[in-house]
Amino acid sequence: MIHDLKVFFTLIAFNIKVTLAYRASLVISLILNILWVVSFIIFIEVIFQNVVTLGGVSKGETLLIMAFYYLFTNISDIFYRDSFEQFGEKMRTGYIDMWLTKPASSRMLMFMSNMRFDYITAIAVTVALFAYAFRTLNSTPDIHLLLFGIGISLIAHVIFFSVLSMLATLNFWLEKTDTLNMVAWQLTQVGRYPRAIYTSWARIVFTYVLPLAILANLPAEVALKIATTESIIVFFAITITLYIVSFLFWKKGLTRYSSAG
Amino acid sequence: MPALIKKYYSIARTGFQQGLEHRVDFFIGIIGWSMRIMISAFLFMAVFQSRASIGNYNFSDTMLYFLVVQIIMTFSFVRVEFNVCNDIQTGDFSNYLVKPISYLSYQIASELGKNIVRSLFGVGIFGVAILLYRPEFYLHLPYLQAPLILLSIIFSFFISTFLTTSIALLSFWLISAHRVIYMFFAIQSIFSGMMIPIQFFPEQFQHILSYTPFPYIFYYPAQMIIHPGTAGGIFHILGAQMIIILIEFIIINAMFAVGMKKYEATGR
Amino acid sequence: MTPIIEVKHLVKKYSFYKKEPGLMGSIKGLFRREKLYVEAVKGINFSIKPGEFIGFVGPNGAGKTTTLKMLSGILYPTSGEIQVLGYKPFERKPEFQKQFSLVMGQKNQLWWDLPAMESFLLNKAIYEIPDELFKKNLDELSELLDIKDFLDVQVRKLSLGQRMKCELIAALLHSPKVLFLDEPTIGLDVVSQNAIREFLKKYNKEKGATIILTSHYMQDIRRLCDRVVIIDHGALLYDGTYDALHTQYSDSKTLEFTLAEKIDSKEIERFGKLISQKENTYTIDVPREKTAEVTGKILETFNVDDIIIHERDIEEIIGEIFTTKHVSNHQ
Repeated sequence: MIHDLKVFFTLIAFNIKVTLAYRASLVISLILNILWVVSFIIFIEVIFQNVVTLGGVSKGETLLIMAFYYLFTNISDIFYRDSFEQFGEKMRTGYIDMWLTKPASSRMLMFMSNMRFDYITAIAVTVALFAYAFRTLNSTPDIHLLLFGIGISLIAHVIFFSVLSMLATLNFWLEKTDTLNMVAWQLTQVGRYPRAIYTSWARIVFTYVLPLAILANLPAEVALKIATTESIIVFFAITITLYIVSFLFWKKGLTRYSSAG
Repeated sequence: MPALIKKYYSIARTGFQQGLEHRVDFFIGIIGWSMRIMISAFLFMAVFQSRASIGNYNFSDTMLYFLVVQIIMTFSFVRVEFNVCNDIQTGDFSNYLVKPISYLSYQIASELGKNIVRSLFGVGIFGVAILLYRPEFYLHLPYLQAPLILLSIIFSFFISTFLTTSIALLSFWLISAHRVIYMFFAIQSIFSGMMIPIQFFPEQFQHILSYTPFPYIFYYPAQMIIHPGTAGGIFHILGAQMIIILIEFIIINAMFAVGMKKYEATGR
Repeated sequence: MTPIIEVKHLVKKYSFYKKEPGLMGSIKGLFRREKLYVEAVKGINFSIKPGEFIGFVGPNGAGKTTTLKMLSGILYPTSGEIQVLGYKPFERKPEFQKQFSLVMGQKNQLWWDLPAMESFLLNKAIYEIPDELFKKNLDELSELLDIKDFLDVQVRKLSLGQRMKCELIAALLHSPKVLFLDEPTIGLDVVSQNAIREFLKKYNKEKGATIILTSHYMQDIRRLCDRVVIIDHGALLYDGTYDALHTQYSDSKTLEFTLAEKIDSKEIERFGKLISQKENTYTIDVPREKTAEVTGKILETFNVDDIIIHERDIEEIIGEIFTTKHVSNHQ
């Protein structure tokens, strides 16, 4: 565990150096991130021009959920999204062989070797979104609750990592499929809206089975002091369960790996 | 058959066969489509809980609009931009530079071929969904204008592909343009009418958007199908689409020329 | 001596889908396809002692690389037993992974956009190499491979030969006991190939590392390997020394000699089968056991300017083994 942590920090240092070799990436990523966030603010504004609440959730609360969603996306983009997206192709061309022989967590090496520190500038944009959300709520954030919410958001990465890991592991059974990445992207869209909009079976699935609706919603509920103790306990239970299931699935997937060339 | 057409027909044919090979890819794509529709359905169910209609759209009209947009999307969404991204990153791009063929034309022809199967199924699946949801829609379809509508959808394919390809060409300067492409999709999805009918935006904003390529990707072609206008209106849309395609074509070629100078052909 | 690598009845099967040709075949394939299997490795057995330098030879698709990948834990065997350093490779225990290394000529572990040194530092963290050992090994290896001046250059800017040298350094920094090399000299120029061969030979002798090398270049095998293992279509056809390949499969040698003056070819044919004649230079085939005797007689009988004894071309011998599929064990 400590060894894997040391390797993780070495990978961070390593990838920062790669980022600095591509300075244009920092600028281009920032510009597109700003456009992306502004586009969705416009989208939310358009919806709330026509309604007062969305599933009982106010505009300020929706914006706060969106802010946590973007914070969540920023961190996943920096640390592991790229590696997941490239995994299928690297697996089929045998480029994961070298990682499999190394004495460190194979999942970490596979899914966290390509970090993107050029996206770090996006966090500044997300901070501005937080400010806008609290201004719309017409309230000052309770720092402790906000930090607790950010903490929950960081732990939620274990859920998202586990879900992506299971999707990526499917590559060991499937032939070439480029669409898995698109499906992963679609799944993240579930989490950007208030989970109150999902009713009946969808609410159960996206809260307990593929808990993507809570990735941004629960941290926002915590920050707004409306999260229940039950929901936090369930969150931790789901996190641990999904991590174990995804780990076992990954191990099974590795036995099917056939390399290339 | 002129040699040029024969060349690109072969590429498209190979793409078509490739598309059939990757059947799982195709079935998983259906999951992606379903997720998109499902999220939109829940979102707008929540929106229309508190009011009966927005403009001349009620919930049923909004869902019909989304189903029509999905049909257009099955034609428009190909993977040219991701292929361009990967080829530049891996250095496989070099393989195409030595061949007597335009790289971008090759990619478009190949992806068009691959997309035929997906499109046919998409039309089938969403066509049936519309039949079950709003069967009367088929009575009011502008059948006489079908060739013009089809042309508009083909133009929408080129507008969308050229736009995202120009983002993919940033791979000449970026570590990897994948994530940036997804960000661009997200931006495009809002302003093209994919996630929300443009009519929901304030009028002034709609007017500004009409000067961008975005609404010509899904919104205007969908309007041609759902609310067929006059012939003049259709030709106005087709004309605007052609101008946009021309401008994008010039931009892509310029980016290509500049990017090629930077290209170092390193990779595996 | 206890073997460091032991393989028993090792099998690896791959599955694939049969595709019918043509457009209709592609459409049919969308709904139904026949699943077929190929046996890439068919129950091979061998063992390797510590310090040995083994060459795996075989045509493309023979199963050499698949075997190597099972030995390094990349692939899970279909059946059979493998033990490397007392571990089952496919369990991928970190204690096992810290003791071996894999270098693949067609794939690299170095990062393109950074100098090789950065990849070395990453490996240092992954393999938990102490600072002193890292510095010692790095200095020694970069000196031996004469690549010290290029460690701070972006890998993408290095030539193939320089890259390969850096790959070797990356693989050896943690002083592995076992080294798997999959076509390490592929695509390199003659000078680079020689440099890497000399380095590997020295490394094997000085460090006592056990090395398994796969290569299509017989020069690699001839100059480096104590033992040759020939694999074809997943089956082990030969396992023995390089010299034994000649004595076992080649019953003749070739004598090429240049005389001071031209002689009637009938005179030459007294000594052996005449293969070719160019001016005063004659090439004859003689039985292996009579080579010394015939050489002596030619030197006594004629005015010889030059004489060379050639073994039969090893590629020819191995090609013959592939065609006859003869299995032999000369350990």
